[in-house]
Amino acid sequence: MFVPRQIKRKRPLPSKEFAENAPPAKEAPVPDVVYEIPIHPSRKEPLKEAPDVTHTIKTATQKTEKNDLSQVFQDTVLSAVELQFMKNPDQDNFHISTLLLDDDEQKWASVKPAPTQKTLSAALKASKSSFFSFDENTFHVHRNEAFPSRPTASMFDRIVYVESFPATMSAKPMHLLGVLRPVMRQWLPFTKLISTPEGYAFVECWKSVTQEQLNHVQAPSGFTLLSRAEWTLREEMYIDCIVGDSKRATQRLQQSQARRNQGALVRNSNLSPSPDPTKPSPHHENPSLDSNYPKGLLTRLCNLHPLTTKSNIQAFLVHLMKQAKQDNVCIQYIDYRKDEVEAIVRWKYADQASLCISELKRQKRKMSAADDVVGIRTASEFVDAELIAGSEEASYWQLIPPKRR
Amino acid sequence: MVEKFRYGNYHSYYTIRGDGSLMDPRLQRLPKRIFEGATVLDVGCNNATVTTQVAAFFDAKRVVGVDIDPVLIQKAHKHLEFYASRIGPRTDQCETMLERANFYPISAVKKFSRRPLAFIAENKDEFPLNVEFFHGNILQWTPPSRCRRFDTILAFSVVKWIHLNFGDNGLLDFFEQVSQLLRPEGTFVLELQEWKSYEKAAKKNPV
Repeated sequence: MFVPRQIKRKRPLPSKEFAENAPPAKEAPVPDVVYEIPIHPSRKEPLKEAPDVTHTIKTATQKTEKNDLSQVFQDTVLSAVELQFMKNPDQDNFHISTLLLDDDEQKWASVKPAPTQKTLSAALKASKSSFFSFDENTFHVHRNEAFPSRPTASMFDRIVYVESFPATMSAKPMHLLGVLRPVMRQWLPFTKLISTPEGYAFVECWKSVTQEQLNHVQAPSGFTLLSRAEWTLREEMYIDCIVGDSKRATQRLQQSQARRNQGALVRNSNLSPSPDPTKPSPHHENPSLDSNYPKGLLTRLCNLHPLTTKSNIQAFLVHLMKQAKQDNVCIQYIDYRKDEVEAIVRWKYADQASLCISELKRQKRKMSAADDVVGIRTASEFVDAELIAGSEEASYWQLIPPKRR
Repeated sequence: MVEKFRYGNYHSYYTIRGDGSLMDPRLQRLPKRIFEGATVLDVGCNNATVTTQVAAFFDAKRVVGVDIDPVLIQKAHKHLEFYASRIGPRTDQCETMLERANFYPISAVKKFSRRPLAFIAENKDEFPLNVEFFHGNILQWTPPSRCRRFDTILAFSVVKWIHLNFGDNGLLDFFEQVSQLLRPEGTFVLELQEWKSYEKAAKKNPV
């Protein structure tokens, strides 16, 4: 790559006279390390006076930890402690290392400084909470009596929809809570966080939240905060737009097909007698519904995990059919969008479509996780399937080009 | 990996850049008159973050984005659809595009898919139908016959990459190209980049 001459010029070396007059380099300070020295029973006097037993090695740098930790980190740690107590309502105390024991690699992603026992304890020492207290000697966090046991407001009223900036922060739960905490103090403590990698997350608070209250809050730059009611309303408005778009698309399709059919009628008018104008032609009656499509191949799956994928759904169905001794499973296509709990499966054979429906009713499987391809058998919220038929089936196939049917 | 972004065509450039405001800080400092009713060319549009904002917020007649990376042009199309899908309805409280932006939640667009552009606006001079994208090297790019010259040309964070990849002559060719594409009394907005950033970019892509 071309490099301009301005940056090719080498920086001048420091001259020797400056190097000679330079002050001597300071020696690195020796850390004040304190160990517990065991006393041998044979010795009458110990070599050194045994210090108080501590659970950590103190260094001189610890004195400055309080100043080095950012407010965001302190808020993050406080939020993590609250969530831990919410997760285990019967637990009155826990060691701070519990906060670091999590399978979720993204939990503490992009949190600075890196969460360690040292930094967590420093953050808890620096910041106070009325909900819990921190024992510096044993590194345990104790729940205070002021910490509420169960929220009284409905869960739906306590949920806040959050769009973060940058969007990638929505997948980093602890960092997100640390940034949100200062603006959401009136609804603390946090009870739950559902993070997604899509640029939005759901925060569950202790108290109910309204959009009017959120409008008066100074959200962090680039963030959007919506109460659950407002979020639901806007999603429904969006669905209305989508439905309106598809109606307009259908109308345009009908109009273009009508124009094409009129042209065909004019071309064929010399070959066949003109149609009776009093009787509507079958094409004009319902030009959008083409009857040339395979029937009985579509099934709608419900109660899927919202973060699952097409490949997971396929593996789930293959596993399901194997339980029914059906090895050669032929799925042509799975219509599924992320975050949805429903999918439309296009089968190659109608008997497999019917078998899928009957087997799901019989086997009762639930997708407990995004990558759950087995489906834990429980009694509630099991994946269900129904055959799509009638006008819905016809309009589905209408969207697919004839070559792909 | 590094060679992939030798033209500064970072695929996540606008994901982390910015302060979270609805409008790019650079656009906030420019006079609106250079965009209103104008044909605008955005050189090195990346994923069309700035291009989209110019078209949406400034009543530009037509906005064209050009980028050397075809992947970014694909992303630009998607970004335009995504952004336009989130524009809310016109109400008494929300009249301007700035007030209506980001109305519909991201979750709605991701779940129920983006809206076709043809259903968001009816007039071709109206956002989002007034935006176009082209893939190509600006030094060799020929605009379509319907829009040969532009009232305003934007070159945000681009000149360094032209200079590093094509040298001094490349830079001169770029200015020559801009003079060909710019209408008389048009406006050329050039964002200069510091030498420090040259050094950083050159280290990432060694000679």
